[in-house]
Amino acid sequence: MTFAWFRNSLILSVTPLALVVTLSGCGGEGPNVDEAIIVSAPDATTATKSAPDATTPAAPSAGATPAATTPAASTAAVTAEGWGTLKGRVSLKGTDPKFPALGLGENPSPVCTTQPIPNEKLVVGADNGIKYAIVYIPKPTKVNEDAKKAAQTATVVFDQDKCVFKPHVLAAMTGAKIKIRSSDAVGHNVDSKVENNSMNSAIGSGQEIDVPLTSAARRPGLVICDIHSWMTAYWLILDNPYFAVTDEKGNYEIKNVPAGTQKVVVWQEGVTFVTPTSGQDIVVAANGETTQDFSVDAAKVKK
Amino acid sequence: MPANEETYRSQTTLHVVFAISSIAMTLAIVWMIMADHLRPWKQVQREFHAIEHEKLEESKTEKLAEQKTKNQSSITEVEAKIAAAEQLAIDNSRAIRQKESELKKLDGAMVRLDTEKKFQKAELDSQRSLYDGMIDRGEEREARRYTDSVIVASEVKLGELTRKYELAAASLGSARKEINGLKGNIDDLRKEKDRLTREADRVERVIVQKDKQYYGIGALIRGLPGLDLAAPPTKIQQISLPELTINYNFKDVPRYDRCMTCHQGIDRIGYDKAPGGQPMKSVYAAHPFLTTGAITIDPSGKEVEAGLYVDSNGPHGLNRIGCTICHGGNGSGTDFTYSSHEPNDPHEKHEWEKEYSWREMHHWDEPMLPTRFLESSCIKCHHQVTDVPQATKLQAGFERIVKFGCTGCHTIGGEGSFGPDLTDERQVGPNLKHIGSKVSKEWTAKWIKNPHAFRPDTRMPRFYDVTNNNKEADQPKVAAEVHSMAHYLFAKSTPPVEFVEPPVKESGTDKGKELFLQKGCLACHAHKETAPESFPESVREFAKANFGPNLSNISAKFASKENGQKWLANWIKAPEAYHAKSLMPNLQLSWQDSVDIAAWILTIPGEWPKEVKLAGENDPETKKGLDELTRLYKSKLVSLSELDGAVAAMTHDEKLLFVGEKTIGRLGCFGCHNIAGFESYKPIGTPLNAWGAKSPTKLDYGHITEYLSDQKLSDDETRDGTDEYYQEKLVEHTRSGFLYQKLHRPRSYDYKKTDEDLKAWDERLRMPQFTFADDPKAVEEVMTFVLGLTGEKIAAKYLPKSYSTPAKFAVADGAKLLNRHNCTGCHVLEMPKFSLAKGTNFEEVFTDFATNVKVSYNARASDYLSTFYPKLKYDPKAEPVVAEYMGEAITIEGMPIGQFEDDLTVQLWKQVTIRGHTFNPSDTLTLNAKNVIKVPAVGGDFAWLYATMVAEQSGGDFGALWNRLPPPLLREGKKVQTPWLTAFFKDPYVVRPATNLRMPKFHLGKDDKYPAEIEAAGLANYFAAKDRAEFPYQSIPEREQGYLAKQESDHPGYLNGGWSLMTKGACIQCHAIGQYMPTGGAAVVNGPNLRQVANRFRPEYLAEWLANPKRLIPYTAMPQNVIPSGPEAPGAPKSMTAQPLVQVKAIRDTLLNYVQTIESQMAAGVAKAEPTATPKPPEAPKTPGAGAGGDGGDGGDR
Repeated sequence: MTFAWFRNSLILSVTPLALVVTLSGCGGEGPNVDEAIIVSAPDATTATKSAPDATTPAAPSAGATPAATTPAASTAAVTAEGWGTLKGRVSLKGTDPKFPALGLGENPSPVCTTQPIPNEKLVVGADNGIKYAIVYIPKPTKVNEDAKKAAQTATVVFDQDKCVFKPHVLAAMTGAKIKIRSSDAVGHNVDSKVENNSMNSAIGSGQEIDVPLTSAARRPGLVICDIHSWMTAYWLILDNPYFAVTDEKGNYEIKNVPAGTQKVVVWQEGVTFVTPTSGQDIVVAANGETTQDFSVDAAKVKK
Repeated sequence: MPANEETYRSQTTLHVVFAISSIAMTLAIVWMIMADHLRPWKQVQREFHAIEHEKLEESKTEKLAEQKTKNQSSITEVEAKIAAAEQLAIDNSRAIRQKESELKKLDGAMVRLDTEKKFQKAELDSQRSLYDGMIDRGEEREARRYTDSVIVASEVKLGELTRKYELAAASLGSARKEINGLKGNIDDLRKEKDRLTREADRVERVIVQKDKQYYGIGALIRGLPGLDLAAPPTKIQQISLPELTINYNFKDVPRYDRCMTCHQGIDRIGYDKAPGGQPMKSVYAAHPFLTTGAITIDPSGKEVEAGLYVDSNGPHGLNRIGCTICHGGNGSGTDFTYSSHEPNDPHEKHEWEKEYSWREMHHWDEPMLPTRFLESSCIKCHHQVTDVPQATKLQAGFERIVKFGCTGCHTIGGEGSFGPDLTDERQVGPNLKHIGSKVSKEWTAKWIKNPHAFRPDTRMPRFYDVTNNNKEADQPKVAAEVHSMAHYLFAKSTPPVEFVEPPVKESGTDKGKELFLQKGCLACHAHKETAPESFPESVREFAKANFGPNLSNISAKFASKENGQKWLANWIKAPEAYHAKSLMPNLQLSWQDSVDIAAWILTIPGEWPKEVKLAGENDPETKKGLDELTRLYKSKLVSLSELDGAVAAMTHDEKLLFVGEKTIGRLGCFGCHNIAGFESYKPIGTPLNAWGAKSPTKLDYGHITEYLSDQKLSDDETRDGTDEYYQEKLVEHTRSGFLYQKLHRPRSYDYKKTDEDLKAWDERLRMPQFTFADDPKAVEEVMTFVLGLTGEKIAAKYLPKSYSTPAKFAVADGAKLLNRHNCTGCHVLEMPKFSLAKGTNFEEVFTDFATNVKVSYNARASDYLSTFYPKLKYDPKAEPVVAEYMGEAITIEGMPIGQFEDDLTVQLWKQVTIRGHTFNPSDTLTLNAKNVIKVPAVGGDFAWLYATMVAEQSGGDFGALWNRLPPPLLREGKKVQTPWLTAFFKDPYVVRPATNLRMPKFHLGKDDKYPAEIEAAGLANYFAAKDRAEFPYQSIPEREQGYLAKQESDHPGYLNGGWSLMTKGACIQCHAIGQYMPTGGAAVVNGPNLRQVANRFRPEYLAEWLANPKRLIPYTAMPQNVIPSGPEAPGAPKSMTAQPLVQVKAIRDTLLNYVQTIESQMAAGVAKAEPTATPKPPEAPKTPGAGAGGDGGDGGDR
């Protein structure tokens, strides 16, 4: 309640951005805003100025057609000048175990029972695309200043809606802020176990608080609500702008990646690390698109 | 008769005799002088003096070098100034002389003035007394006139003189200053130089002094043979301890310890190293605990480290207690052999024999304790035993004795004894009065024959298959005895009255295993189905609990599965129904859970891992044995002529019952078990009080030498597991040798005595063999304890109770109780420690220190720093300050909450300052898992095991899991009120409803003499004492009328304000208040019912907890509800707006005055309008309550 005014202004600032994304993306499903990353419009434009194909650093290009996979693995590290785009898809190999909705225990609050609470440990969409996987580069060889500025000034919204954390997986850069909000009529607490960004605050109904992100961690961390034990989410706080959370179809896109060999890490809740924890070598082409797909083995998904 | 020159003896002969005897005498004197001069201790002292000299020279060099690096530039500077000043004085000599004569004059003038002043003062005083006399006589007029004329004038004169005197003193001072100036202030400079060179000068002075005493020319002369009778540099040094007597059999005589005559360096700091840095020769070495091991309070009240021994600041000052009271030996001896040194092993012995011609002193009753038993003597004074936790071997021995129930047969302590008192230890075996309801008779017989075959680590010792009854010829009697005992037990068994048919059916075996894991069974028991390998590697250690029996083969014990299911379910549900003082607590499980766990345990097939050979009850040989035994025992009851008739008249069952009873009585089974018919029997073993001083002549070594020599010598020089050391000790007939063999092969003293004509069956030795008999380490642990039971009466002033605090005793007493009930099986007492050794590369261990500091510093934003951490500062604009790493050792204590590659994240539980930055509990530090030194946690085995297992399986947060596990008990004493804790131990109720398992109800106390209250209070006091909190009672000033009145006047509606913060804030989402359920729903009840808080918490802790919970319990789910700066907490009343600390305290005080608040709410009728005041049946879905004043947003369903 205390921060109610903020909420309105945020919606206002988000609208133009939504338009930008709609224009740059080629989806036919209307505004497709990544739930995790919302970058305010002015920064997006500055980014566009310097690097022709840079928009928001992590907004996925929804509906991108799967391109021929560039041979990515290489034995020797390649150094190169310039910036490129890394994109691709994270998909499931095998059959979706289809986790049932989460149980709420005895006597849950009516606010929480308006709809079943989905188990988002493994969200599989069309063509076995996996939503909520994170693709990131923990230690890039260089950092594009514009991409950095854009990511740092981004405001990331973390909502609690019908007793579900939205988004389930969120990635952000240090310097940015997470705006925690409760859209529910019931109070929650956001108990973050994320390394270097732990917190535990009660968030009243309609309340909003800003959490500045000061320090990064090397892997995603868990966020829970102790009042509603089924509510979980993951945050990845990185000290560079090279991260993306996959969309419903499993697509991701990271722009302004330094060209050359980068160690790319893919994380998915059901299996934790898809790549080695230190990353997989991928050569990013300068001034172009590099496509790299990843697959998650259904057999390895934790029950 | 004329005198002649003739003498009776020839003069010449006499001259010769005289000459020879004179020479002989002279030689004898020389010999005597030389013998005295060359006494071993004098040689030792001379050698020591040389070493001391070298040490001092070394120290001087060191100090000089130190001085050079630290002060050289200042010294040179001062020296130059001194030289300049000296020159100046020469230059100014004429002026100085002039000034000095002036000074002399001034000085004279001042002295004169001073005298005059004093005279004038005396004059004035006498005049005043004259005036007083006039007043007394009523001559007031004269008096006034006198004052005006005389006294006033006199006063003026005194004032004048005083002024002159001060002037003179001032000019004298300035003249002195002038002279000093002319001399260049040389005195100050000299003082400054002395200050700079002080350290080295001090050593130099010592050298000069010692030179005079020990190694100078004078000392050399005084030390010459013959002359050294007068004032020699070598002297016997002794400590007299008239009250710490030695018992010389018929008389207690004062103790004189002369050990320092040779052990000269024992009390000298730095003498652990010889000159040059090598370890010091052991005779001259400083005591290893001279500077460490104890804590003492210095005059300013600060805690400082002190030496555990020898150090006069520590508890065992050299001059206070001497040496031999702990070490044993002959303190008056000044010779290596005569002081009764004792080698620790055969190797040392042979070396000593060669080097010092050492031999065993058989006629000194208390030889020095060899290193291996050194800790024995602690219990001469420390009767509590657990008050010396540093003595680890002794503690292990004590625990072993308690665990294996030695006191069942051997009395230790009790009335009239002096030493540890173990009479409050309980019987360790199960109650056998209802054995028929539990196990099969066949199993019982086999178990009695060889319990180790069924369970290798059982506490039950073996009475059979031991050296005095393992011959083929003994077997019929063995079988007869075993079956008789089983028969007796079953014949006397009655069904346990409170055992019932379980009211529910089992729900499925998978559930049972899950419950077995979840409900904490593994805290005490191990099971083959939950073997260590089935757990994550880091916690496998914790899956080996052996406090209770290993349950792997349990199902083999029962007569039938139905029988087993009923018994086991009842036992798990309420062990006290079967065994009132069982160490197995009542786990407060439901019938369903008990039945399910029992069912799962019984699905695992049980077996005898080792076969037990036992002839059947009706085997003809057994019957023959039974007859023989019946005859043997009957023969003591009836006359020989009636014997045959009496035996023949008995039925088989009667014989079994008869022999069973006799055997149980003979073997003392009732020492550990409750057996019908033996309630008033006394323990059968030798009391162990004063056994440690028992004369070896009173011990029966039997044919032990023959026994040993008849055993095969194995490759490691042992014979039947008895090593060379103990072989020698046995041959020499020493106490320790006897004791070792008694524990190792208890029946071997019967060797070659078991033929019937020497020792009848019932005269054979009865001491059984324990499962640790073949583990020399375990045997020595027990020996260390028993050898310390000397029964020596020590004067009261030396006993711990004369100087230890009640808190120390409470901790020691509690430690015993914690052990007894295995509290650490579930609860953590100390978090793991991680350290960095001195001189390690900092970055190799603290891999992300800068980030850690930053995060820790920023986290201070949510602390009430000035209230709870007054020394810590936070400025959001400033950067935290980090100092240079100076190579010091660092230790942190906290919970490892995650590891990623080599980065281990540790969440602190104790405050620590590293490089100038103070980290608080809940701050994290990133460590390199490979390079850091880890010390495991104390306690909490089950919690670590379960949390790690679940975190690995489900991917949940490791820390968050602890919310549902037994809580770590760090800070518990500061947290809870001791009376509450006492009551809680006796009747544990549900504190946190959502935990996986409940605090069990322990079967406290032993009997009327040692009731449950004592144990409950002892446990509660332990926690308070350990945290240095007040106990056993606490005052709660927050409940006093004056306090509440003050708060009420400062913040009108104080308690109702607190109530509003709680009910409109976040509290009610997770906490029930009284009968009102939390608004978050029944399934999410995490927090304790707040109704319980008033009696449970201590006020200081509660305030700190409410202010920022994670600083006290880092993993807690409880969020910070009132933040020190930022948005107002919901429900804050007007009188407290913008005063977060007041709000915190108001909530605290409301909780502490719960009843009063409820009453005032009811009286005001407010309670009715409160959302929570609408009693909600837990199963009905909640509706958003109508908030007070219609403020649905704050008070509603959140």
